[in-house]
Amino acid sequence: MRITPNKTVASDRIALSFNDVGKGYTSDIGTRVAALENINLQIDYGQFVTLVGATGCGKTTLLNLAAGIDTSDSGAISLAEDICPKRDVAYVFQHYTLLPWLNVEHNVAFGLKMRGISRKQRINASAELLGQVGLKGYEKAWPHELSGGMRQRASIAQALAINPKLLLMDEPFGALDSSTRRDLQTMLGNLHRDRKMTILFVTHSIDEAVILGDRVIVFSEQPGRILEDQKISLPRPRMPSDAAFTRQFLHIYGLLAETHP
Amino acid sequence: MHYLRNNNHYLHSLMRRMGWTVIPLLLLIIWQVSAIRLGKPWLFPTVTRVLVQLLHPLRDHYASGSLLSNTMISIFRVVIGFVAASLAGIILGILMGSVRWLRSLLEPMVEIIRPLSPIAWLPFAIAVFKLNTLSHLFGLGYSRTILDQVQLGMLFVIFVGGFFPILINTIDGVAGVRQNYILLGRSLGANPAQIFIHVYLPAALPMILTGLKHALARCWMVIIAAEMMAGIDSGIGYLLVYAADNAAMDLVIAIMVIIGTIGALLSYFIRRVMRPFIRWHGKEV
Repeated sequence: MRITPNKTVASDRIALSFNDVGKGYTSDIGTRVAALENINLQIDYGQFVTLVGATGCGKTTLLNLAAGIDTSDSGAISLAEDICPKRDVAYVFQHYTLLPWLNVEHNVAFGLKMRGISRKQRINASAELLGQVGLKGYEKAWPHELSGGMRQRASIAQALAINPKLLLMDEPFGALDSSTRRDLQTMLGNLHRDRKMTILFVTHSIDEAVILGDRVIVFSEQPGRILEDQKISLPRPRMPSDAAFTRQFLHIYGLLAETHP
Repeated sequence: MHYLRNNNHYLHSLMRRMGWTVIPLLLLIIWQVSAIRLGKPWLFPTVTRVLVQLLHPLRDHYASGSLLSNTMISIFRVVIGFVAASLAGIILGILMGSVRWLRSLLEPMVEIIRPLSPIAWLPFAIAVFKLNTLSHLFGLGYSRTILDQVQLGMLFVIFVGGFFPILINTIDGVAGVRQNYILLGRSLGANPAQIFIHVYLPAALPMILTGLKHALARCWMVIIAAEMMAGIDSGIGYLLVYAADNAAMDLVIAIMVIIGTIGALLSYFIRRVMRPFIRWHGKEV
């Protein structure tokens, strides 16, 4: 399936694009597994794109390709010219998201330290970001002292510290309970609205994909392929109890249930 | 049930307190009384005679120096050997832990040499280095300083004793760094050198420090044994053998107390130094 970029947005406003990207792995027993096949995807500046699909369908691989952690077997991945892969792309993981030997403040300041920003500026920036993610007063806490939700707040602050133009998130809320998850979704939605960054967000929760995304990319399993690229134009904040929301949800649910019953 | 548990806890802490006070005191009293009744101080001296030795650390014994001077010589030897072993072990360990082919290349040799007791190296080391000391190494000849007491052969043995625990732990520490932390560091803009300093090193530090702790304890055991060999004429291990040969059992026991105390102090000291660096260890989330 070929996905054409939305023509209402100028095409030179594409932040990230995948053209005919394929990627395979050799599994432990020696068989070839296609993680991604024929991926065509263009993401506009400032867009919040969610990738949804069952676990093991190559969504993380797609993120790793975008981050430059992994390389594709075929096709091309390109970032807009003003997005430097080393400086402007941040990644938030599900687990081990903070460096355990640094306290929260220094974790958030880590990216700035790598850029040679002075200690005073780093600490100030860190305090401000922690305020924005609702962790004021936890500057000196250690990662292991925080709850799961607080850790993810801190790791979002850590990623935002480098002022990324592209934020990649790999099931960042996957291990959280539902109410914490809802709080963090709201917070992330607000941060996206205020900062105008491009976000590529992987999740296996359809609910989460529809709540957060301007666009939901539905992924199929083995080989990883794009089943559908759906624009979500529901007003924010989105209510899962809303009828229109439920329609979108059920549509995606139906797509995923068809491919892997 | 609740009552029982509290009671157990009380009993436990009482026993613990008694274990540190009453039991040692009781043994000291039995020792003192039986030593007096036996009346053979060259075989079994009284507690008080041992205490007298410990209270006079500057007294010269058989023109071989005092308890203090010989202790200082032993500590000095250990510190130099240990520092050399730490530098070599950490640097090679980091290289072997992060460069896969280097590890494959060198690991067999490490596994072949490692099981050999460090003390077994001593006759060979002394034959190779003769009685050359650190001051010879620095071209000072006989310098009349503590450097004259640091034989290269002995340093070599301490080095061997400390090197392997540090090397093995550093390799494991570096090889075991979570890939996630490296990816995280990279995504936050760290270059390879920064990844090394700000991710690999702190992540491997708990293991490196564990290696240092074992190595220091081992070096202290090795030096005592090494100093007891023929041909050595200084150090607390030497004084121990010399005192035994002269039937000065009060001195022998005093030296045993000193060796044990210093071993405990070294281990306490290194744990104190380590603590702030590894507070996070085992609490990864």
